[in-house]
Order: sequence, then structure tokens, then C-alpha cells
Amino acid sequence: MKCVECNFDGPSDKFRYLYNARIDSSLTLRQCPNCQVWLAVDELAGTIKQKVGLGEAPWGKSAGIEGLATDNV
Amino acid sequence: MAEAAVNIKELEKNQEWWRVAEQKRSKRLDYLRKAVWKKGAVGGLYAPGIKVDLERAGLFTEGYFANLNDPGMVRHAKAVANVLDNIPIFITDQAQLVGYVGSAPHTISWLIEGGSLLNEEVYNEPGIAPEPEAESLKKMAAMMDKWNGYSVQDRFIPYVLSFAAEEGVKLLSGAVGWGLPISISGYNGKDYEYILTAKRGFEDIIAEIDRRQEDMKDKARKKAGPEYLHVGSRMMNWEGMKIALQAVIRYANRYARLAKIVAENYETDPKRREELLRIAETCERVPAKPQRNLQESLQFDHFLQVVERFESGGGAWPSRPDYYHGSWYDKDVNIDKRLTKEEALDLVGEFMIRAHEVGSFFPRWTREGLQGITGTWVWTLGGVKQDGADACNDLTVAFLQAARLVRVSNPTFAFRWHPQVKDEVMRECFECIRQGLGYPSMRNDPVLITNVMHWHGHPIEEARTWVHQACMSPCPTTKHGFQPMRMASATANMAKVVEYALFNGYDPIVNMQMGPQTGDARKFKSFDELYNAWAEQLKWLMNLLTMSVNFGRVMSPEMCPRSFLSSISERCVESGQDAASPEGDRGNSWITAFTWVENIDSLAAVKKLVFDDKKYTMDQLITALEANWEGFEQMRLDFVKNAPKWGNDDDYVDDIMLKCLREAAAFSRVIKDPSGNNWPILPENVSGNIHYANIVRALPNGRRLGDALYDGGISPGPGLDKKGPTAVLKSCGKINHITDGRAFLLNQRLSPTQLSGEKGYQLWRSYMHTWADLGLDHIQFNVIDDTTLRSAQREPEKYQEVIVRVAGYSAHFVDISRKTQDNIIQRTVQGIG
Amino acid sequence: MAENDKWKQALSVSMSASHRSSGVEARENVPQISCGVCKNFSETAFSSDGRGTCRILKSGSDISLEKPVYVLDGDVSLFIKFNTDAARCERFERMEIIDTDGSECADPAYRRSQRQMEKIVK
Repeated sequence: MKCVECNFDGPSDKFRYLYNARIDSSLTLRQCPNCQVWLAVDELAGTIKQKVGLGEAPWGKSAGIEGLATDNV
Repeated sequence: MAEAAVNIKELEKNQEWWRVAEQKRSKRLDYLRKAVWKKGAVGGLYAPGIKVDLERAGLFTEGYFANLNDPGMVRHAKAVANVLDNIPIFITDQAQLVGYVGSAPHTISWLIEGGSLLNEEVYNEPGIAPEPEAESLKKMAAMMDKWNGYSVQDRFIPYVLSFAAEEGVKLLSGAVGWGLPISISGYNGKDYEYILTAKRGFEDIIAEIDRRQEDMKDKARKKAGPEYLHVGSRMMNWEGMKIALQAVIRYANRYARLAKIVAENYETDPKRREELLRIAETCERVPAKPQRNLQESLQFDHFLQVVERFESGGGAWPSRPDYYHGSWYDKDVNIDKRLTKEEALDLVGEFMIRAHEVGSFFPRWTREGLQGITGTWVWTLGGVKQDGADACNDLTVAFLQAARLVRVSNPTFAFRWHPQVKDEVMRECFECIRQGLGYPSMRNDPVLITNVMHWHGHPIEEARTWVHQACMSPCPTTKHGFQPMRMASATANMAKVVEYALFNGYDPIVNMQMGPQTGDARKFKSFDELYNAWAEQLKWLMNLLTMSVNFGRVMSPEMCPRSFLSSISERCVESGQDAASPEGDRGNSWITAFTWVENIDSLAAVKKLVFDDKKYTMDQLITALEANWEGFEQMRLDFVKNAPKWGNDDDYVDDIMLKCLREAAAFSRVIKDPSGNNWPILPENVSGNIHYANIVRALPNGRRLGDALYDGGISPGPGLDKKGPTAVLKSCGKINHITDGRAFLLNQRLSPTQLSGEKGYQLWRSYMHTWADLGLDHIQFNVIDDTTLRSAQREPEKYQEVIVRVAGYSAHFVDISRKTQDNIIQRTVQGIG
Repeated sequence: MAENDKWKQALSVSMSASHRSSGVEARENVPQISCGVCKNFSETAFSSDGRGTCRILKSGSDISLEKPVYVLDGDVSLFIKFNTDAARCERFERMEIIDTDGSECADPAYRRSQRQMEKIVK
């Protein structure tokens, strides 16, 4: 994987695993060991999607608001 | 006025509740609320400016070592008295209530006599040593060195080494449980029926102790025999209680004097002068004598709480303010009309603020597990009286209204719902929830009264007095019903149970053989084999924690006497025993079960995909888990998406939940507490799900090491409750909330848009009917949308006052760590109706 | 050493007054090569008093000796502190990422939030 911020290149386990975006999705947060920014990672594809800053949620919303989980689901 | 009214309407429409509160509350409340320092840790760190209080630590040290040769309770009482007599006191501008656990408003207290580990942590903590830092560090180190070998923890060690070194190491590894089994850091219940019913003040208790001492002295001297062998220790305990009571009276009188000095010499505003003189009169009256009005009643209560925290950590704040102060509100506001409703509301709001500002230095596990707050101060409202009649009163409503005006994250409320609760009161509860406070949590009173009677044998009249001992557990407030302390170390990181069942009890995080060796899971041939390993690990963990607490509780009178708590407890005043003595106590013990549901979803996933569908082998699964799912993403998703998950009304997994709970319930009757009573489990989390995220390894529910654990109790995994709100309630309704455990926390997120207006109330009301009909004992709500929460992450300075329900407590969103914030956003927003 | 004795030793080392630093100087001292900056140090989640365990070495190891003793088997891990001198330990591996900010929650592998660590990390 290649860091989108500093171009550090290395296998995924070199990037510190932080936590998942949602347990039922492949998106996770990892940290670059070189520049230490937080990154959104697609674990299935093994690619870095983007840098993640405060309040940014590349995985979108929780299961609610726009599509409430209702009894009809 | 008209402009302000329009403004408020607009703010309400935009759901800017903090700004609504600013507009609606009195100038006094506005000032008092904004004058409070933030004492809860932000994530795991104290906020800039917060300093540890060296005064209390120094005065206690001085008092303790000056009286080293005195009997335990007397020495303790003299040390507490030295603090109360000498600690600097202050009165906040505009305040009508006084008393603080520290020497200045920005300080947090430090109980130096408790744990040497804690002391080292105080020393190591960045930013909290008072300026100049170097000088403070020197002072701190000198005091700590003095306590080496004398602290409660140090004096325990030889005992632990004598029989349970292995258990001691495992407990203190931080992997499986919380807390130290010493009563100085517990949750203190109180015998409110004795001390807060205006039947007596401290002078009456001192007179009562004098009588008891005379009586025992006479009897013991007249006839030799085994019945009075304890005369010496009891006489000294009583002596200690009296020293403590007298010191508290002097402490209150110091405030009276200060208020009078300021009023007579400095205050120029006649109205404020009058208030200061009223403070003086109040503090001369209580707690020496019984209270006569609302202000005295609230002040009496506040002194109890403050002084208790001068002698112990007081991690919880069991309380039922509407019940114990309600008659004074009625007298002052409705009968004598000496207070207007608005004036009373000021007092009630300030009563909450005075509690909110109290804080002590917490060890890291507590700070992280209770991010943003200073303890689990869940005040109980509503419920029934001892005769079964509705206990709600005008003060219940006043507290709910005041909460919306002061919007503190601690204390919070839990409301004892029962079928007689009037619609007017339910609307007040709903309004607090709708306005995003996250509280009150709703408790099912009939279910919990029965639960209290079932587990610990309280008679019904006693059971009906119950309050929240901490976040969740119901505990009565009577002579035999109250629990003087609950040690937090009976708190289990339950996700470790399934982890250890899968990894033969070995824990790579601490590099130790923690649990029993239950076999190589790669070789398990059936679900039953895995389940049996799970059950053995569960019993090992339950026993480890409860054994340590039992031992700690029984040793407490010797190790850390509680002179003040004993002095306000009827059974101690009567017998001369320390409050920690289990004699005369019905127990009321429970094991807090953090991270419980991971067990259920993990077991269900293995059963389905390995043993039923045979899609994977145990060998493949263990390999994937050992790799933290790294390189096994497709398989991980299979375990998340194609295995049944708790909270969807699916019997496949719900039956596993019941089987596991009943395994725990059966064992909780095998192990016994010091009173010989049961140790039921209570699934809930506070923010332990984040604290333990990097301590629990990958599990078959699809989590990796590092992922937040589920938000707790019996709440489904965030985003995994896909069948809607009724399905969640139905799953939870399969649990017997009386016999399967002590209580069961359920978090739900609801949509603020959906809950607006009268329609919103009716939807919620109908949802609560279903909740009650299904016999659930607890539910609490977050009513806030993702957009607001994401904006608060981006621009925290603009959203300082947004409150969220974390688990058994509420916190300001900006005070919790990023991972905790994200975990709250991950929760499903349920659409009701 | 019998297993039971190892548990006793572990409890003594991590808890008892005789194994505790005293005074300011000893408490402030963090060697440049210390367990706290090693990848194999796992800070206890319980508190930030400085205790931790080694992810590799077991009880009976001694890295203070000129010729350190390395024990790799057993039920009990080696208890160390963030400021234990690790200069002689051949298992020492310097960390790449260190969290000295304690505002996020417990991560025994990366977080070193003691005030004293700031001096050697920065």
C-alpha cells in the first residue's frame, strides 16, 4: 500500500491498524508509520482510499437518518 | 422580551438546545453553569488548567501520621477531621449551596492513602501538578514516599501473596477486569432512610452513640462472657464516628462563618448579602440539626456527598433527590409559598451544578471507561413509595426541567417508570430525551423491584426504596438494604471469555496464561466443545473477580476504615461496626459484565459457519483470528454478514444469548458474596468498550484487535441490528429480566426529526408501551443526528455543549475520544412507529 | 522456580513498596534505551503508573545483568516498567510510532503517555 500523503510504500501490516469504519464494511482506518496521518483503507482491495481528517467519514452515514432502520426493512 | 421569545422558537426549531437553555435559564443559573471547571477527562486526559489538589493529600497525610498509634477508625477520623478543619474553602459568586471536595474550584482530589499505583500515576500524569511543577513534583514525591508501606494497597499485598498471588497478578494486568478490591475506591450507597428523612441531625447521632457507648460499657463490665469480646473495637469505632461527625459540623460552621464575614464586611448588594446570611444560617443548622426547608435539605445532602468524597473515591452517587427532598419543595413552594417555582428551580439547578463540579483523580482505566465525566452519578427519579403508591411529585418535574436548563453531563437521571406515572411526568422525561440529554434512562420499576427481591431477598417495602448504586444496579436505601460500598473490581471484560475459549486461555497482550487451559480450539469437533470451554472460562473469570472483592470487602474495616460513612448508617451507629462490615447487609452484589454481546455473536457465528454449514474449519478460523483477519477480509465479512446477529429477533442467536446468560445466572448462585448472597451479572459497558478495544484480540463476530467493542449491555452491535426497533425489543424481551441477571443495558438511537412535536411524543410513548409490555428493565436513547456529530468533530469549539449517551452515562461529545465518537455515530438510528 | 513462586515474584515486582522508585530523581529517570520505547513493551491497561509486560520475555528473565537472562517459556510474563533500562536487551526493538498523547484510549502497543516519556520521545 502507498500512503496518499507521503508516498510511503509498504505492506498493509506496516500501517498501524486503528479501527474499523463499520464492522460490516471493508473500510478501516490505519496510520502511516512515516508521516503518521490517518488513512481510510479498503481492506478487500488492499488500497488506501484517502487521508482522513477530523469529522470526515469516507464510509458515509450510520445506518440511520437518511435511511432509518425501520420495522419494514 | 418578544425578540427573545422569537429567538428561542427559532433555536428550538433548529434543535440548538444548549442555546435554548442559555436563553431560558435565570442569570444566576447561567453564571453558575458557566463558572464550573470541566473535571471529567477528555478521552484519557484532564483538561488544561485542572490540577490535582495537594491540600487534601497533605492534610490527610499529616493527620494520619500524627495519629499513627491510634486504633484504625480513630486514626482515620482524625485524618479526615484534619482535612475538614483546615482545607481552604470558598463560596462561588451567586451560589446558594456550598461545599467542594478540594481547596480551589479547578482542583481534583487525590486520595493518597489508597493505592501506591495510583500515586505513581498522579506523579506521572502530564499537566496536573500545580505550578510551579518542579516544586509540586518534589512535594508529591515526598508524600508518596511517606505512604510507601502504609497505603491501603501496600498493606494488602502480604495477604494477597499468602494465597492468591496468581489471581492478584491477573487482576492487575488490566486485561480482564477493572478496579482494585479496596473500599476506598468503591461506590458508596447510603442509608438515606436514616440520615435524610429529617428525623435526626448529626448532634442527635452523637447523642445516640454516647448512649450506645454507655450501655455497652456497663454491660461489658458487669458480666464477663463471649458476647462482649468486641467491646474495645466497638468503643473505638464509635469514638471514630463521633470525631468524624463533630468535624463535619465544624466544617459546615466554617462555611457559615465565611458567608457571614463576606456578608457583613464585603458584600455591597443587599440581595446578595441576604443570600449569604441565609447560607450562614443554613450551615449553622445542617447537618448538626435536621433540615427545615428545601435549601437546608439540599445543603444537608450535599454535605453528606462532599464529606464522603473526602474519605473515599466515591465513584458513584446513589441518590433519589425528588423522593428525599420532595416534601420540602412542596412545603416551601406549594404550602408556605416562601419560594416561587423559579426560585426553587434555581436551587435545584444549582444542586446539580454543585455535584457536576466535583471530581477526583481517576486512574487511567476509569478515565477511559468514563470519558468526559467524573463518576457514574446516576440519580434516581420517580418510582413508588414504600406502600406502592406513585412517588413522583412536583420536585420530580422540577429536576427534569432543571436538567434541561443546566445541561450537565453528570449527574444524569434514571427514571423509575411504573404504570401509575402520570402523562405530565412522562412528557417531562421525553422532553429531556428529545432535547438530546441522553437521560433520563428509563427503568422498569415493577420488574426491578421483583429483581431486587429475587436476587437478594429484600422485603418488598425495602425493595421499593431502590436507587441506582452506580449506572444500573438497583439498591435499596434502608438499614439492611443499602450497600455501603461496591468495589468496581467485580467488573469483567467479558469478551475475554470467548477469546480465551478460542485460544486455550492464553493472552498475547499480557503474554500470560490467563484463563484455564480448555483445549486447542483448532481440534474442537462440535459446538458443544467450544461452548463448554466458554463456560469454563466464564466461571473462572466470575470467580477470580468476586473472590478478590469478597476478600477486599472483609478486610476493609481493618485496611481502610470508613468513619464518616459508618456514622451516617443506622446499623453501624447501632452496632459500632464499620460500614464495610458485611454483617447486617443483604449484599446486593453484582458483576458488571462489559463487552458481553461479543460472546453471543461470536459463538453464533462459529456455530453457523463452522459446525452447521461447514463452510470453514476451526483450524482456518483460528489462523484468521491469529492474523487479526489480515489477509482474510472476505472470510471476515462472511462471519459478519452471513451469521446471525443478536438484536434481530432471530432465535438462532437469541437462544445462544439465553443459554449463556443462564449459565452465568446459575453460577452466580454458586459463588457467594460476603453476606452469603448471590453474584448475578449485569451486562453494561460505560465506555469500557473503547478502553478494551486494543486489549481484546480478533473474534469470530468479525472484530479486529483495535476495533471498538459493542456499546454494551444487551445492545446489538452497532449497525448490526438491521431488522428495526421492534426486532431489537423482541430479542431483548426473550431475556427474563428478573431471573437472568441483575439488569440489562439497552442503547437505542432515535431520529430527532422523527421525535419532533406532539407526534414525536406519541410515537415514543407507544414505543415505551411495547418496551414495558416486553418486560425490559432498561432503555436509554441518543437523539442526535450524524451531521451534528460530524460537525462537532470538525469544529469542536462550536459544539462544546452537545451531549450524547455513551452507555450507562452521558458525556459532552467533545470530551470523548475520536474512536468513542465514531462508535456512537456507527450505532443504528432506529425509526419508530 | 515453581510457577507459584513466579506469580509471587511478578506480584512483588509490580506492586510492592520495595520495588518502587523513591524521590524525584529516580522517578524522572528514563534511559534513552528503555522498555517504554520498545515495540515489545505492553503497557498495562490498568493504569499509567508505568508498569507493563514484555510480549516476549517471561518471568525469570533478567535484562539488567551484564549477560542478560532470557526466559521464553512459562505462564508468567516478565514485569517491567516504562523506564526499565533496556540497553542490554537483545530483544529491544525501537518503536516507529509512539503515542504520547493520552487523549485516545488504551493501546498497550503504542501508547506511552507518562509525562517523563515526553523527554525522550521528542
